[in-house]
Amino acid sequence: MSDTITAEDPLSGEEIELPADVEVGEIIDSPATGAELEVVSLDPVTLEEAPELEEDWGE
Amino acid sequence: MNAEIDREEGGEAEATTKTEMETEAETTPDADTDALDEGEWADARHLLYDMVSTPSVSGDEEAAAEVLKAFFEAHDREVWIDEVGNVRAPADDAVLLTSHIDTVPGDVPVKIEDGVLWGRGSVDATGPLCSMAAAAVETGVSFVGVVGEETSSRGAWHLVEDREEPDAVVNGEPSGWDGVTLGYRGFLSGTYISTSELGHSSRPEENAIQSAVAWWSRVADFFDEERDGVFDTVTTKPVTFDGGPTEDGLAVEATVDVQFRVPPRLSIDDVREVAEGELTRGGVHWNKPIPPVMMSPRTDVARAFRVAIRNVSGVKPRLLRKTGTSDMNIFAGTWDCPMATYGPGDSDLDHAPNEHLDLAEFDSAIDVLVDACERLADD
Repeated sequence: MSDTITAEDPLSGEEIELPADVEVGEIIDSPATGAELEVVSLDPVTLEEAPELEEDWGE
Repeated sequence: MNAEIDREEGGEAEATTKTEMETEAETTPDADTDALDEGEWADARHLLYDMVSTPSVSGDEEAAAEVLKAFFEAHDREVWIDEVGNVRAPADDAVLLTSHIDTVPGDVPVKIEDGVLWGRGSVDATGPLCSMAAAAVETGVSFVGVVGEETSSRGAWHLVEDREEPDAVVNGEPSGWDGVTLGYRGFLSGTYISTSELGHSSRPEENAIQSAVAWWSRVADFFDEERDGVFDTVTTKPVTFDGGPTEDGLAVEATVDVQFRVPPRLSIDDVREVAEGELTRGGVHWNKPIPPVMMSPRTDVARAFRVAIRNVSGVKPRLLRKTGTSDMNIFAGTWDCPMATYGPGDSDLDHAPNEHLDLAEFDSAIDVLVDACERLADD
């Protein structure tokens, strides 16, 4: 059984390899672009650009 | 009065005399309290309303602590108020949910209009606190309501000395129900004091007041640098300035209370060294500092919240870093476990005269907290 799976990099459109045990919510570095991507679903494995860190006032 | 307890015990209102009812009507805040009974989290809405209606300015949190304690007792949870006033409800330490009971002063009349609760603390941080109490009861994780966050953080300091480290911490402050806060700047404060001999004001030598002004000017200039946003900068702030002849008339004395917000790229010691390095006269007495904190978005806690926010709403979560300081700084300064800060409400309304919280957002935050806690407890 393969220990990797593939998913589409949403930024480059390329198929990239991920560990087979990747978890939803995990952030990975795209091997294609270096961008941070978040696993937003597992069936099928779907990636989105990870949220940027915003600045806020408080507390 | 705890409305939750009254409802659970039932019939108490019927036993109330007319005179008592009239008195209560005169003192009950103006509110459309029917909104409290709506939705899955009516219990928590009542707790929120009771807590916001109970004044809990820092140092005077006892009455609010009793309301919070009663909520846990009503749900058969072990709970006590510790020696500094924190409400402690330990359970599954896979997650410790903690927020502060105290508020800043300010009379914001309590009312509910169009599903929005107005009142001091509704955002900072009674909303986050009550959403966590509800989630702790629902999921069985640990909970602490701490005191004194708006002043000395005495509740949080006591907690890190008095308690075992949990597996994860979620601190309660307003991030908006779809956001999670991962970083805060640290806080350093101190008092500069210098004296000089009192001489005729026509003499050219610098006196203590001039030394104080010049020192602060050099320190502020050192940290005045352009960066992307405020978070990565050191914010310098003089908060009181006093100077003049001493009582015996023999010297001039100057005192300046100063504050620094310190980004995670620097340490408290870095800032202290700069400030002391600019001294030409006098010295600085430093207060206990609060270190900066910046958690990775890749921790289990951050991941659990991103997944929970998407599960509850389908929206993209927001990750925040805040230019202020919170009790999370204190927890992160002592404990190594992953942590984040979360809670309903718009932090622009922190300490504001129009502080208010949408009850639907409050409910959504409980949904997110329950999802995140269950996920962390299962890991």
